[in-house]
Parts: sequence; structure tokens; C-alpha cells
Amino acid sequence: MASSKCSEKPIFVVIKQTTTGYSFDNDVNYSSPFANHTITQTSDMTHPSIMVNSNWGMAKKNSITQMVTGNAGFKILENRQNSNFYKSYSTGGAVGLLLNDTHGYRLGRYKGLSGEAPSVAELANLLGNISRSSKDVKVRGSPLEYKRLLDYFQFLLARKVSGTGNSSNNLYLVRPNNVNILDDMNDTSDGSLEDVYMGLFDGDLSNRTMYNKAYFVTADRPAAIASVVRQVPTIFQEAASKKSSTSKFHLIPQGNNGRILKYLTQELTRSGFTISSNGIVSIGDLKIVDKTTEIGWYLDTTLLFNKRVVSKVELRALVLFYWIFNYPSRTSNIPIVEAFFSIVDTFHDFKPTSRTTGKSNNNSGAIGSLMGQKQNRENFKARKANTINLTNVSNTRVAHRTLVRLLGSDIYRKVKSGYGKALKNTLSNVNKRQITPDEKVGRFLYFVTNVFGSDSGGLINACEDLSRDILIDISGDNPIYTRTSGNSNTNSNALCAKLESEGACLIIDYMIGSLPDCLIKHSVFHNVGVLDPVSKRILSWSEVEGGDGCIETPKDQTKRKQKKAEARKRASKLKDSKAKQKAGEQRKVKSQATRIETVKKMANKARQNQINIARRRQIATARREGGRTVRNTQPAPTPFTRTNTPSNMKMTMGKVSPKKPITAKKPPLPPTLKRSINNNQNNNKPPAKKPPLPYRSGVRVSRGPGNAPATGTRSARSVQRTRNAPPASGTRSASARRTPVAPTSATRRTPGTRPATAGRPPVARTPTTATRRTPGSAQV
Amino acid sequence: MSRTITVTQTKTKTPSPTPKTIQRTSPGRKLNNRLDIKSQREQLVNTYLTFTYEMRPGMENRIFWKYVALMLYSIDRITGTAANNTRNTTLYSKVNKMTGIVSDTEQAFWANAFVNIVKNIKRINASTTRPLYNRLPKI
Repeated sequence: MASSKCSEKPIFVVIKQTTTGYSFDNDVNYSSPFANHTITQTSDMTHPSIMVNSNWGMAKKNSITQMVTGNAGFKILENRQNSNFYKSYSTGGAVGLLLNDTHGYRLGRYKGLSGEAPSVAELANLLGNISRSSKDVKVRGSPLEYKRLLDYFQFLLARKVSGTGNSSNNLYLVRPNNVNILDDMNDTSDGSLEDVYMGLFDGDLSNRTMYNKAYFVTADRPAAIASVVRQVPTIFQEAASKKSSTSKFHLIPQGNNGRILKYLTQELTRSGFTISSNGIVSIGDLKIVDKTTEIGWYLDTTLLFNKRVVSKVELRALVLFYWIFNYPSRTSNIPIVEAFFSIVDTFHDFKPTSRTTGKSNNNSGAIGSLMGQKQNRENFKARKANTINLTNVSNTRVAHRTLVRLLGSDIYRKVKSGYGKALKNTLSNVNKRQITPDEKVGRFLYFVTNVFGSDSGGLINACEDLSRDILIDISGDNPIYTRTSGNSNTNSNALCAKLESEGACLIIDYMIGSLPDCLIKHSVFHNVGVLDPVSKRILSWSEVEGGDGCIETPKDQTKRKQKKAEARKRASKLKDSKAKQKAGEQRKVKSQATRIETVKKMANKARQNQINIARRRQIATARREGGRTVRNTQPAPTPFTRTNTPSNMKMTMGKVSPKKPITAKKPPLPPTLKRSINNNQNNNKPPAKKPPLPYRSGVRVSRGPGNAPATGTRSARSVQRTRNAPPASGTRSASARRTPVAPTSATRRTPGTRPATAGRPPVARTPTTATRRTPGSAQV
Repeated sequence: MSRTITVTQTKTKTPSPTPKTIQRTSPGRKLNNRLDIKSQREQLVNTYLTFTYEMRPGMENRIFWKYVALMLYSIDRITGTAANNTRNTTLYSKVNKMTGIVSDTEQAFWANAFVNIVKNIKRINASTTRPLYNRLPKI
């Protein structure tokens, strides 16, 4: 698992719900063949820190008693001495192996924002310094243990939280921090305490999920099979093939190791090996796995590494796995399998790669291959079950430049201090030699170490591939989720649905590629307390503000702030939710009533308008009809007859209408003509002045039709004029129309005395008093 | 007992670890937004962990006491105590004016006090936080 400066992640905290509250004291234990490790977390001011207390079964001064990370790691590294192994990195991190009279050796690691243990590269560098040293370093091989522990801790954590078959252990994984609280507390603007508190309960931002079921997820094949062997809920990611570019996630069902042995047996048979009824594996007459007098389950490495007998390295791995999984035991061979895979995992971690050879970008490896030179490998190959002897292991004053020797120093020391009973019992039943049970275990482990040390790396690769094939087979080759290059970010899939329904999370050790959003939601790899640094491709620490050069991108910042603002909005709505809800309901009812009222008003208004229009039309029609009626019913003009004796008084009838004075007051219009006041306008605004009426011509000339000189009497001409009037002349107003007036004596002119004066030149416009009409008098 | 916090910046030769800063998270599993007692308790755990996550040698007064105010307010909400609301709100609003750093001892005291409350969160009452209020700074 590659490490980079941005690949750090904080610690996920295991808490236990008790009858009184929550307890943080939940250790995770790992018993390796060499030591018992207890991983503790701190819940005080040094959080996030993780401490691994190790018991190697020997004096403290000869063992690494603690590995300390985080701020606690900083504390111990701060007090280092010059004689200690120590290296600081440009990223701000530091790793050191410190000897202390009280505590013995302590492995400290500090890196900002992180509680992680040393990465492979950092450990390889430390191992390089130790192995080249001529000092008597009693713990030469021990740091290897702390690499393997990184993987193991994760699946042991998953097992601890999920429980063995039940989830009623009241253990939960909780996130170690809440980014929104961090934001609020570091914000210098004046926010309200209540707002901040209420904001913590927003669904999206609360980030306080507690999981009590977890799945261990990894694409690391040895780690996955080591997890499956221990009955841990495991999801294995099968790497994408070059052809298909699809990546499959296999959920490994619970089950025992018999299914693995079944698969191995089938494959061996298919590959041409013969397996007898008592499990002996042979090819032709050559028995590769046999039962001998001294060793009841014997692996003949001479035949195994003979290319004429076993031609391919894949077949060697197959035989080796069969030998382990079928190891005879009265109770269970799981301790043997676990011990075997702890060595496999060490070779897997420290096999030649850019991480361990120093070709990586961070240039922190630089110790060369721990697999050794060809000469070393030939020596290791020469050691067989019959020739393995712990005196092969150099003492701790000699430099150890290979994994075999580094592991050998651990194996050798443990022989002295004593192995676990399970291992001793199983191996004592198989190995009948006259040596101590501890030595039997030591020889067995050293034998396995030499088998892998005999090879330049091909065998460990073959073991990894075989582990993959086993995992796929026992999962039924029916992936729960398949990620293709095209639809990597799907909204949902069967795995997401399963996690959702179970309220479970993923403890991700190592993953190739990115996760879809729906899995990220349940994943804890970017936020979980796992000691193991993992690939930068799957981590989110690159989005952290500040820390060690991993700066949140502007896009991320915008996205986060936007999300937070939205959440705040929702949170503010949540505040006083009951009162607000009630008020909201009232508002809703009121607004609904208002809407109904408005609709009614609009309908009424529309109806009123229709009525008004209809009425106006009716009135107009009636008016027109009335006009016609009037015209039709008007009596024919009566010829003028003299009914009385004409007086001798001359009546001066002006031919010219008296001039209307400009200031003459306009008579009020009848009510029907009255313009309504527009209230929308400014009422204070003075009404626009009407333009002054034009001067009337001084002489009115009565003319007949066709501009012919008028004939007949004046009244006759008036009637005639009315009849000849254009239609529009009647539309002004019926009331305004001149009603024919019966001739009176006062206005009657003596017929013939004053004939129409057609052609008379107009009188000058200058008004005369004689012709001026009295204001207000009706003009006829 | 009332205490006044020294607001002067102490100069120390001890290199301090990199300040823990903000981590972006993806949303967790959806939770109900109800302010039930269980959610309030879980949130207190979350706030406590975040508080201790931020604790370090040289932690600023300004941030530290904000956390304390939030923790005390959260505890009072769980116990249903409203008597201290003004005090918490005042501290929270004025704390931005503070300068200087908090001593390791003070941090350890509050971390220890709060972890004990979290451990007994189902048994706390209005008087649980009373002695803690006496230790708040006067601003």
C-alpha cells in the first residue's frame, strides 16, 4: 500500500454503549506468532492517537513494548536521544525507535493530523538503518511486526465491532471528528451558539453516525484471505482485468476453511497431481507432500523447486497452500494457517517494489530489496525441513539484510520466550523429533520463511494470485457489485442497498480506483482510524485544509461551503420546529382562503364587467333605436301660416349669432356624459384646460341641400337640416338635441320681410354689443 | 472559583505539532433530525471527540473556550437546564476577542471533565455542570 504525504487519515473511534453512557476503553487484541498486541485509543487531549502495547514474552529491554502514534507519538519522539534510530521527513512526519530504560524499545511515529503507524516505506527505511548497524539491537526484526499489524488491526476491528454472529455487543464505530463543528469553532464571525448547536443535528452535516456492523474491504489478496480465515465479514475487490476494465466486489460468505481445501484439492487434481485418500500429494511416483516417520506432514522442497517435477511457480503455490490448509490437527489448524499467512503477508509487503527499494517519489525507502541476492536465496533454498536449525539465525550483533534473517531473529528469540500453546500442540503432534515444542514451532516458521526466501518474488506473486482465485471461488463468483469504467459513480447498487439496510459501514484497507458516492457514504477509509496508510487514490486527506501540503481545492471549498449553507438553512428551519410548524400550517390555511377569495373576486369582477358592457351596449342600442324612432315619429313640417295679426313691431333678428365670450362658462354636462374621476391619478392635479372655443363666424348662412340657398321658413330649414344631418350628429346626446320648438310670437319673423341673405359678405369678427349674447342664455 | 485566563502569548521552544485542521467529510448515513435525547447524547460524543481532536499544545483560547461553551450548552440541553443559557451565549459571543493559548493542564482538565460526563451521560442532571461554570474565564 503506497503512501504519500496526502494519504493520511484520522482515527475512527470504537465506543461502547454502557448502562450509564459511552465508554472509549475498547481495545483490539492481535495475537501474532511472536507477540500479543493490544491496540488502545486515547480519548483525552491526545486524541487522535493510537497506542499499541506489545507483549513479546520477554524482558522489556529486549523488545518493542509500544508503538505510539499521533500527538502521543510526538511526545515521545520529542524526548529522543542521539543514540536512538530516528528519521524525520520533509512532510513534517518522523519515525523513531527509541530505547528507554523503563519502557524498553518504543516505536514512535508522528505525522500531523494522523494517528497512523509508520508506512511501509518509513518502516523499510528504519529497518535499513537498524540492519546496517553494528550495535546489539535486540529487536532487529520486530518492526516487521508493526507492518503486518496494520492490516490485521483493520479486520480485527471489523470483527470486534460486528461481533461473531451477532451485533448486540454494543460496540460502535464513530467518526473521530466533525468537520462542521471544526468549521464553526474556527469561524471568527459572530454566530449564535444556538444556531451552531442546532446545526449539529442536520442530517447531512451531523456526521455522527454510529455503526455497529462493519465489513473489511480490501483488494490486498493476502490480507483478504487472512481476514476470511478468521471469519471476518469481508468484501474482496477483484482488480480490473486489462481486457474488461471492470472491477468486481465479492462478498465472502461466512464459512470454514474446508471450502478452501476443497478448491485446492480440485485444482491439484485438475493440474495432474494425484491425491491419495490420506491426503498425500504426488506427481507420478514422486511424493511432494508426504508423511514421514519423524515429520507427519512433510513438504519436500527439493521436489517442489525442481522445475522438472513442478514446472510452474503457480503449481508450487498450489502445493504449498494445500500443505498448509490440510495440516493435520486434533482440534483446528487455524493457528497454523494464520501463522503461515503472517509470513506470507510480510513477504508480500516487503517484496521488491518502488516502496521498498527507494524508487518511489517520496524517496524514503532506499534500503534495497529485502529478498536478498541470488547467493542468499541459494542458501535459503538449501535449508529443508531436515536441515533447518535455529543456529542458522545470526545473533543480534550481526547486520541482517534479508527478510529471512530479520524474521529469523524474531523466530529465534520467540523460541526462547515461548510460543502459544495452540501452535505448539499442533506442531508437536506432527513433528516427532526430540526437540522442544517451542523449537518445533520455530523450525516450522523458519522453514516457511526460507521457502519464500528461496525465491526472488515469483512465488509470493503466485501465492497472491492463488489467494485471489480462492476468494472468488468461495464467494461463488457472483460479485455483489461490479464497477465498470463507464458507470463508476452509480447512485445505488446491491452493495449500497445492503449497507443501507444493515446500517453497516466499510472499513477499507486498500482499494483500487474510486468508490461510487453511495459507497463513500458508508465507507470509513477516509475518516476511519486505521493505522495503515493506504493509496492516495482512495483517500480524502488531499482535501484537508492545511496539513502537510494537502490543501483543499477551491472547487472542494466551494462545494463544502455551499453544502454547509444549505444545511444551515435547513437547520434554521428546524429551530423551534413546533411553533414554526404550527405557524406554517396557519399560514397555509390562510393563504388557501386568500386564494379562494381572490379567485371569487376576479370572477365577480369579470361578471360585473360583462354586465356593464352588456348594459352599455343595450343603452347604446336603445339610444340608436330611440333616435330612429324620434326621426320616424317626428311630424312633417307644418307650413307656416299666420294665425294672428302681425304686429308692427319689428323684430331684429340678427343674422349673426352673438359671439360666445371666451370666458363663457360651459354649461354643465348632463349626468350621462359626466366623466368619472380617475382615482389612480393625482387628484390634486388641476384639470387640463380645454382649448378655447374658436370664434364663430359672424354670419350664419342657412343653406339648403347641395349648398343651395335656403328656402322656406327658418323652422322648415331647421327640420330639413336635422333630417339631412349625418348619423353622427345624433349620437352626441338625445337630450342635447334641439327639440323642435313651437314658434312663438316673440321669435317669429315676419315672413318675407327678411329673406335669407345668401351671399352677404361676412360681418367683421369684432363683436358688437348688439350681437353679444348674454352669458348663460340659451342660444337657439 | 472564578478564574481569569492569561491572554498573553507564551513563547516556548518546544515545537508544537502541526495544528489539526479541517477535514472534509462525505455525508454519513442519514439521520432523523429530531432532537430526541438519544441524538443529543450521540451529538455530545461527536462534539467531544471533535474537541479533543483539536486539542494540542498551544491551542488558542479563542477556539478552546468556544468548544467549552458548546459542550456546556449541549449538556444543559440534555438535562433540560436553561438557567445557564445566557452565560454560555455570552461566553460564546465574546470569546472571539480572546488571544493567547491554553495550557496543557487546562486542556487536560476539561478533557477529563467532559469524558466523565460522556461516560455517565445517562445519569447527569442540572447540577452536573455547576462546578464547571465556576471555572469559566471572565472576559
